[in-house]
This record gives sequence, structure tokens and C-alpha cells, in this order.
Amino acid sequence: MAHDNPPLEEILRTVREFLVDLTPRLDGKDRYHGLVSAFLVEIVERELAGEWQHPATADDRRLRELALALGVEPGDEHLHAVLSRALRAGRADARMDEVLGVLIDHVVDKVRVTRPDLLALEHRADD
Amino acid sequence: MSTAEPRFDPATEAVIERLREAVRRRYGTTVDIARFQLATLGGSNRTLLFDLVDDRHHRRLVLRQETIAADYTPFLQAPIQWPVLNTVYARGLPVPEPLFELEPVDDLGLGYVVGAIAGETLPKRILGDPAFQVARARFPRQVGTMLARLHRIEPAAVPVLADVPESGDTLEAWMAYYDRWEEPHPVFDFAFRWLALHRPRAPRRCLVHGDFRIGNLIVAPAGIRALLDWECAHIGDPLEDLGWFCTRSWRFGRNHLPAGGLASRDTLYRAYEAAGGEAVDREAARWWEIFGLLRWALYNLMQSYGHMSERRRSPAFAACGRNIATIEYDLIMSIAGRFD
Repeated sequence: MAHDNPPLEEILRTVREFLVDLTPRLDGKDRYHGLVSAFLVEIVERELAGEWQHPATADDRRLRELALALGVEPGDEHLHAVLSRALRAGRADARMDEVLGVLIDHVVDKVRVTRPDLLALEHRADD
Repeated sequence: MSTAEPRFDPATEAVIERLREAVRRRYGTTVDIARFQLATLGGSNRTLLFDLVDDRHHRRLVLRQETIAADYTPFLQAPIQWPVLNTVYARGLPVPEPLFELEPVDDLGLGYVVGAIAGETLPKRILGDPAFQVARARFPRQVGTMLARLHRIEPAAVPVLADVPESGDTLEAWMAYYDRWEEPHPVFDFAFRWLALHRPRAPRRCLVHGDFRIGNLIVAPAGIRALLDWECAHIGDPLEDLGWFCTRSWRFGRNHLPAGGLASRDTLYRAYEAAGGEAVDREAARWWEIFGLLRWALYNLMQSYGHMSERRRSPAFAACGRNIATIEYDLIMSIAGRFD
């Protein structure tokens, strides 16, 4: 259903702006947690905004293909668990470079949401 | 009773009363304590600074008290830290003077009291403030000397560390912690595997600080005054401390200076070797840097697990969970040889 204004992203922005405004007037632990809270809201904003650009399903597909390439049938279990087990068992030992490439893409998608400013130039958005 | 003191929360006030009794039990009923200050550290321990006062003297001390019995962390409990701290102090390393360990009669739980050392601990100031220019210039030599001296402490001198998991096979110990925190990360398992396949040859074993980085040093304008925080100490490869110091997460964005954002690796290694440390196997030290990234990511997973399992919640612990991605990025790019 369509809710009334403000929409989600506008509510988040409002909360973040309040935190950013409040935090300099706090000290010690409260100030630190104020800064971190604003950062957490920022992450949610980016995650919501990025959902249509880099849908979670794209990373799922990427990891599913990797699992199949390593000879594992993903099934219903969480993909991360399936892959972790396969990698730990040494199933990728003969193709570390190939797996490395897939995992870099996987991590870059996460960092795009968490701290895009930390990405190397080659991984900046607009691709 | 001191009247001009700031009021703390009731729990801290109760601690202060018990601490007063604990101090009088050891130093006589004529002494008092005053000028309390809670350090705003992110960790799980209460760190309370106070003055020990008698009619002629006063001395600044620190109470380190464990406030959370964290069954899921690798951090050493105070009764293990205490003998280690005493050993390194007796060997002349710059650490706070150990004064007394808490006992059951003190009703303060686990912890100990040490002498306070004045100085700066904020990495941003140490790395950037012009007041620390001399300290920064002396850093590589001081760090190299300190580590070389620390690593001369043989395992037999700290028997209390023999059974600590990290004193055994490092990768196995961390794999066991990882499994306990119930969140599989393909990047972690890839890194564990890569590290196992590239493991350096069996090293000489000695006392390792385990968390040797700028944030655990007290620094004055003239140089390093003390090395803090022994809750990660274990028996291991001396290169682990060098590698951890150079780990990308501890360079504060100054990646052109891998040794803590302050110096090149070679400058640090040469200082270590000149101070009597063994010749640094560059490739093995790099292995420990990459291991350091995995270990730092796992510490973040631990904090996130504490948050998600409702054991201790805070915005900072929540952020640790999402911070993992940025460390994974450094880790995987380092393994790929694309980050130095």
C-alpha cells in the first residue's frame, strides 16, 4: 500500500539530520554513539537506494554460480554457509584466483553500502 | 568523604566505596581516594582513574575492573593478565606499575590496580598533532626496541599463557572462535584456507603482546611512555606483533606508511633488528599482516555477535557488524596482491 508522506527515505534522512545536529553537543560515550548512529542510518539509506541498482539477487546469483562451480548444490541453506564449508574443505584450492575474483565482486557490493568512500577507484560506482 | 566529586551512576558510586575499602585494606586506614574519572573506552572493562591520598602524598592510579563475564570473547581474564603484566614490568618494559590484584574480599569482581601514566592515546592526535612531532620521529626506534625486548621473554617465564588458545595453533584457535559466533563469511573461509596454504615455517616462540598498535601506547611529546592492554597476550611468533602493527587497519588511512601510518616497514624492521630482534623474514611478516586483517574482521564479528545475541548492545557494536565488509575488502584485495 502507499503510505502518506514522508516516505521511508525521507524519514531516515530526518533522523540522520537530527543526529548530525545533536552529536556535537554531546560528549564522551554519547557523542561517539551519536556519530555511529548517524552512520548506521546512512547505511540503511544507501542500502535502500542501492536495492534497485545492485539488487541482492545479483549477489545471490553470483555466489550460487560459484557454489555450483565448486561442485556444491546450494539447496535451501544460506549461501554463505554453503560456500564457507566448501572453501574450508579445500574445494577451491586448485582455482584460488578465480574464486578470489568472485569474492572481490561480492565484497565490493557490500562496501558500496557500508563505506563507498573506501573503495579503490576501479571499484567506484557508475559502472 | 570527598565532597567536590562529580556524582556517577549508582553502580560506579558503589564501586568507588568498595575501592576505598580495598585500598585501605592494603595501604592503611589513614589513606583516602579522590578525583575519580571514568575513562570513556569502548571496551568491556571499567577503567577508573583515581588519586591515592595520604597526609603528604598523592598518586594517580587506575582500577581495571572486568564488568562483563564474556564467555564468548578471546580476551584474557584479569587473573591471567596479572602475572603477565608483572613479568613484563619486572623485565623493564614500559608498562604501568602493577600494584595489587582484586581479591574476593574486595567484592569488586576480577581486576587489578596499576599506577597511572599520563599521556596521549588517541591515534589521530599522535599521528597528526604538531605537539607529537618529536615523538613521531622517535617512534620506529622506540617501537623496534620495545618489541625486541618483549620478544626476549621466553614462554617459560609466562607459564600462565601456556593453555591460552592463541598460544596453540593460531589458525585453529581463530577458526574455533569464528565458528562460535555463528555467522559464516565465505571471505573468512577463503582467507583461512589461503593462510593455511601459505603458512610460514615454524618460528621461534616467545611472549607476544597480541594487540600491539598505536592505540595501545601512551605517548608524550618526547616519545612513547607505556604499552597498555595485555588481554590479547599469548605465546607465539614474534613476527605476529610486527605484522599486527603494520596491518592496514592500523595505518589510519596513511597506507604509504605501513608501520602504523608512521614509517615504512623497512624502517621498523631495521630498528627491530638493530635492537637485537631476530632478522625479519619479510614474507612471513606480510603473512601476519594478512592474518591480522582476518583477525581484526573476526573481532568485529565477535562484537556484532555480542550485539545480535543481546549480551551487550550498543550502536558501536552494531556498526562492527557492517564494518566487517570494509575489512574484508582490505583482506581480499591484499591476498590478491592489489593492496600493499
